[in-house]
Amino acid sequence: MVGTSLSQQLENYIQTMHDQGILDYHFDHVKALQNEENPRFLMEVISMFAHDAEAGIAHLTTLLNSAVVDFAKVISFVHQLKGSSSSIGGVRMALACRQIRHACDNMDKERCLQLLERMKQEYNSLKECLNIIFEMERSIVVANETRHRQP
Amino acid sequence: MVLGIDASSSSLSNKNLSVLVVDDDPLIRMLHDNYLKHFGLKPHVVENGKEAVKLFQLGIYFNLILMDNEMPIMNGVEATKVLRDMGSTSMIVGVTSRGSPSEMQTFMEAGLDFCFEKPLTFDMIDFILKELNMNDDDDDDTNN
Repeated sequence: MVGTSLSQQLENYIQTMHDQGILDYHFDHVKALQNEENPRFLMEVISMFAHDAEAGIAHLTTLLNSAVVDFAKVISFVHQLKGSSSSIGGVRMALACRQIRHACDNMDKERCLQLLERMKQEYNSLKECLNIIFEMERSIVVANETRHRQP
Repeated sequence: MVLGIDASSSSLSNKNLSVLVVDDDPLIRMLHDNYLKHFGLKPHVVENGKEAVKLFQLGIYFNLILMDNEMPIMNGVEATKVLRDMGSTSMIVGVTSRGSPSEMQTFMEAGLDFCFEKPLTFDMIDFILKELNMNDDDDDDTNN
């Protein structure tokens, strides 16, 4: 019974994130890939995403704060972040990445730096949301494992 | 709830299809691998275009190749060109973050059958598998 109410809480939370525009339907697609054979799939995806995103944002920060900006490299990192954030349903972060790409096309360093700050804010909102989902998933996994172990 | 899947892309008809995923991002590789497994496929996964070309050179054939564009060592455009020059008849589908019309056009001109902007969805896979199964049907008709 505990597992069921946790799942319902998770569904409700995900719906709230949809309503706030932080997550789009791609998140639901990813969640639908989880099954009994890979019960921690969503947790793995979230961990990987957070790790890669933070590394990518760090690279972007360094590149954009250089005296002479290598816009081609910036574009490359921005595309990777756009790809991974959109794949996990982080639509607002993906949009911020697209905006940075346009600023790069104009070789506008100041605009890129402004948009980088906005993208970091979107990432922080997304990360907070994904952390909560991660913890809820972890509780569900533990509850299910405990249930299966009981005689 | 299963999204965007109908009977014509059922696991049964997909069992004999071989698929290769080519992407340098480990998260994307994991996602695409699992999306395809959801359709009953067992994808092979590599991290850049050169690895995909190596497999072809070893004589390993794939019905379907999902090809990213931005990759180190050999990107998707180069890998697709090389594969086509070497005579690959696989269906090659580009799945890229670089979604501007000119970038997609350049990628298509390298020899893709289709090109989609990331993220990959169930509907895209559904479409691709239908196209693949249709091609198989055409081959059967020609042979009969």
